[in-house]
Amino acid sequence: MNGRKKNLDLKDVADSLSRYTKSLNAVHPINVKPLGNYYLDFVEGIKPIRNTGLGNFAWLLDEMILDILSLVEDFRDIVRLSMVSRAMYCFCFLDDIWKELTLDIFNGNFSFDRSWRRTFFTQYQRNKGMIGDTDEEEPLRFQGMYSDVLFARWMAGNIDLHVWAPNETIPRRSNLSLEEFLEEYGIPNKPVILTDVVNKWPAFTEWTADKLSKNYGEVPMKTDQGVTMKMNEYLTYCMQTRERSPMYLFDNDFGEKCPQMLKEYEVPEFFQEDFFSVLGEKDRPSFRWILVGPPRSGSGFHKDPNATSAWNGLISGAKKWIMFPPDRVPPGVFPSPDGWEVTTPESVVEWFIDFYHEAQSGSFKPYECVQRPGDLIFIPSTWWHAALNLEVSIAVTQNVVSTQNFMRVLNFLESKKNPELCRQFLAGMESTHPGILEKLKAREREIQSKRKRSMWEVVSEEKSSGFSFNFADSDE
Amino acid sequence: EGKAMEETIVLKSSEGKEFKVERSVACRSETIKNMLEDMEGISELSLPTVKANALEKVIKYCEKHKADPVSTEPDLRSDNIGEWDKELMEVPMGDLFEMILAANYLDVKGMLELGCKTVANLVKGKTPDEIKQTFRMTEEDKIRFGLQNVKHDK
Repeated sequence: MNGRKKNLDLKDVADSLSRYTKSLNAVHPINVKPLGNYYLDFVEGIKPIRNTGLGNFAWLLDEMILDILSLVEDFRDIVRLSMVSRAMYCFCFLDDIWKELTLDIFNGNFSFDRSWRRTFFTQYQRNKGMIGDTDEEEPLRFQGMYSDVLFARWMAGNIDLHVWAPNETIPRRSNLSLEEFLEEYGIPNKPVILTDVVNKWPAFTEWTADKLSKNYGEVPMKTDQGVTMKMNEYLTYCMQTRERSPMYLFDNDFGEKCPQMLKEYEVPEFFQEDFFSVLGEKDRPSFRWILVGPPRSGSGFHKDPNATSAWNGLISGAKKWIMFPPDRVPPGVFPSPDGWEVTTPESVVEWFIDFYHEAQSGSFKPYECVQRPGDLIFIPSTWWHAALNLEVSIAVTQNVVSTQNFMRVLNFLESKKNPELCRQFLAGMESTHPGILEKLKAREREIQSKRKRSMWEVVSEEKSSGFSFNFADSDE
Repeated sequence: EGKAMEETIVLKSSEGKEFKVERSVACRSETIKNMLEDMEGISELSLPTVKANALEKVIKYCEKHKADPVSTEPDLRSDNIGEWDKELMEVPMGDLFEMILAANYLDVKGMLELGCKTVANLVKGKTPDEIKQTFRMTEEDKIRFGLQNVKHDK
């Protein structure tokens, strides 16, 4: 069952909803309101419709009712249920239900049309050979239905995302030499945006939606929700959808399917080291992706697997980033004991609605930016990061194992239940770069001893002048 | 010495009725497990929001399923309920919903899923009037058209 809000209590939910109601672009289509409106409405004589309309279901939490509905696999049962009462209609109206039905039944074979409900019925009728009017009935509007869950889901699909755009705390640089990059960002493992890399790629002008459609329209592409769709169909979906957790085109095979694209960008000079390549094309973990997504698509907080670093170059659109250093777990994120699996809201927008405010309220401010076309962002190894597309966005990303993060990667591999990969990696390193392992280990020893020395210096200084520990800038 | 798994604890329902349960069985409830971990040496737990009949069923479920692996994947199918589980859920409608709430509060994922699947199966194949009767919706209004003006087959 969906444990999304397991640590938020009702008051937090109510606060999040009221905080953002001013940033809504629209009015709820069937007039469901947050719980907070209940008393005011009641005083004005509006009768609540939940209990009489739900019967026994009224006892349950709204999330549980939705869980039950997602177990009703035949859409006709949902339609019949929607006829039972106004309150039930409100639940059955939720577009997420129709999205699930559409993906379950039609998989990737549908043409998205404005909403999942409409998409479902259009495809259903098309498959049955029925032609004619597929315009859905005007949704009914009711008074007296209050649900934070239903309202919050709708709100996540309709909130003006730019409310989270303002803070820019990640440095923007250009004209950096490799040494400068390593000294200021690579070695200290800190994020940065490089503004003069992407605009030199052919991809910057070649990877428009129109050209992608023309050149690769029939190529099946992977999305992050398990559905594979042809590029054209995905782009149509991408341009039309407006929902809280859209499908995101996230394809790690684009190099093999669209080899021309590989010639249209190049790995920046700062990231030329690529130690995982010693594993060979077949055995190396996925390392490059093309990303295409509508507003509201994105990735919730995570650390990149295998402790790799990454870079992400934006061709078009706008992408909000928020990052925390390795030992600062972001609010609303619940890592497993080893720190690598996370429980977090499934919709990135919902993280922003529920937890962005809290992230701003502490003494520690997260690293944030809006990545614009032409920007290349460096995501340091083991940093927590999340990304939210504010507009339709096209980007390419690769991850990196280099001198700077080698030890972290090795430690990660050694601790995972995959000794084979670790063994292969070490063997590959030794045969492709003989002697390098010793050099890397020696370098690591030197870094550690420098760190110990500087801590001791701080301590002995502090002894005479007063007492304060402040290691705020050491990120390991 | 030490916490043997054969140790029993007492669970008290909202009406004060007491149930003696093996500690390992009771810990199939995440809520109870966390309570016991937080409070050392406790051997009796009051559950003022859980009624006796619901608590009894939860305990039966936990006893029957005590050797099940703890699954992290939600089970998304509703057509795979075993016979024993099915019988456990054959109760009046009000009791069924009480059991679901109890399973939710006590965080017994398997039973919560079972309850939801049972309700989903009770919805299937029914006309709107039948649904209204089964689940005791008392709303007078009739929604003439559901989400799509589709003739239903039944």
